[in-house]
Amino acid sequence: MGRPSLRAALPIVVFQVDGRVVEAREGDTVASALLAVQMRALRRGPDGAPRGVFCGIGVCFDCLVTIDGHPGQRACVARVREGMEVASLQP
Amino acid sequence: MRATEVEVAVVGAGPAGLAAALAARRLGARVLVIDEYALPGGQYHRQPAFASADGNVDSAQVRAGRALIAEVVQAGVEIWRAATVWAAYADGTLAIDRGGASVEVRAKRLVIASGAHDRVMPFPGWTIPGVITVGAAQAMCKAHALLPGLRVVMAGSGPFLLVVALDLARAGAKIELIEAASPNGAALREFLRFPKRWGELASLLAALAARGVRIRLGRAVTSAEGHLAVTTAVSHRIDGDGAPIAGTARRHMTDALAVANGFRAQTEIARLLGCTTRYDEAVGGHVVVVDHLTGRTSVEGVYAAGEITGVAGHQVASAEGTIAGISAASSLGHVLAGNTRVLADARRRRNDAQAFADLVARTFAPRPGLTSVTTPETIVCRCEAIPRSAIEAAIDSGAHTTSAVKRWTRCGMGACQGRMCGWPLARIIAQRLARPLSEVDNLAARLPLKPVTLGNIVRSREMTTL
Repeated sequence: MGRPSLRAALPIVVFQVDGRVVEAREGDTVASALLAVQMRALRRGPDGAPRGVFCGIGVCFDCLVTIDGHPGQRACVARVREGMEVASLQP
Repeated sequence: MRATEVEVAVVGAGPAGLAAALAARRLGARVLVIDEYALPGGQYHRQPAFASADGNVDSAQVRAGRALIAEVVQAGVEIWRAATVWAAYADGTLAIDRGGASVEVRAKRLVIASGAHDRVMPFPGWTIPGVITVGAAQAMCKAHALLPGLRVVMAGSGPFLLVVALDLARAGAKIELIEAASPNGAALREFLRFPKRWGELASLLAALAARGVRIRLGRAVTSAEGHLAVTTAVSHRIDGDGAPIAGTARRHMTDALAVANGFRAQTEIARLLGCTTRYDEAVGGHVVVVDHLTGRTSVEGVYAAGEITGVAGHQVASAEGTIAGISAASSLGHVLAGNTRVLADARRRRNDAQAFADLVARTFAPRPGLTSVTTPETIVCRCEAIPRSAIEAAIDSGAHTTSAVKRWTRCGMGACQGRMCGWPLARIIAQRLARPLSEVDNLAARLPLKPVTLGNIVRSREMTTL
């Protein structure tokens, strides 16, 4: 859910999530870029249920995704880079 | 690998860490600040992650932070961003995961200002995407100009909820706020002793009312529903003990539920160094004991400032940072004319702000009955998906400490290392054994403090041999 007035003015950074092209804005973390496109479920927990961002500040490790082949990266801490490839365990 | 050598290393670039760094630098010490995030500022002074004007994203905190960061940098303090401390040793050595490799810092004095994060008592549905902490909602709004949802339910306790509610409402969200505390004559009379704060509260409440924020007092969120994303929050009225009252359920349609039952002090680094802690649930749980005149901990050469000494807000944190920074630099022989006055002023600022912070902490402290929102089926440990029933089975079989329950059930053994489940686990043990919470142990801080890849550790060795 963006703030159109603010975010629309920011430079676009393009990356991929599960093979899908996503437009992020300058300064976005993987988590904020995905929230902006309404993607909330980022992986499955050990109980098999969908999980997403919880603490938002790098403490809870619930928003883990794979970035450029490196698993276990915190989506709320990692910044989006042009051409980055993110794999979620999206349900 | 050659270690980076500094006189004073400060961990954390929030209000306390920045104040400590500035104070120590002004005395002439060589200072390095290490911060985990992409931008310095901590939670309170969190900076927008983009370069354009900050618009109406809460600007007073952002602007004050920007000015402070500029002052610190201009004074000659080096700030390492996106640098995670994963090990700390009492001789002043820190191992830091930074830029794809592990590096070492060796400091003569350490100032730990690692802050706090929200804590949440688990309830059914709290792992559904879209259920977040109040801190997460604030971070999205401040740093990325994003709303966690369009109809946001905020629940828990404390003035932090009001502040973030206003951020979100200003940005266009429709907010319903569920506050556990109810009108209380004694607290109100105490509040009257702080006339300087009346205007602050009045204008906050007026701004919230003007934006249509609905506040419901004396209730707690008891469950969330949804699968891929939260759709509904359920709240109940609570009794004098803080426990939900049957038959008082209310359903709230929502696309984001933000919860905070106070804060948890992030003391892992200090505890790993052996610093003595004390327990006070109202100010963050296990907090680091310091001499408030100097910021010294129980460990020689290690200082602590800000929320890890007891959560009390940015004013106390900033004053404590100044005190610790001056003490650390003076202990290395640095002196500055007018120092005594700066120190006395910081001590006075700390005491003034601390008195009000104590009142807030007592007024909004979680009550014992809050533990009842965690049903037997509720997942307590998010990392390992351990339900309350498994924890209670372990307790009934003789696991009477958090560390015993951890070994028995794996609760607290996941990637967050008990940062999320440690508090609810302690509460469940206390309730089950009818024991005071202060007598339940704390999960030990263990290496690595945050996950670090073997590849990064190997890369630091490769640099050594080059």
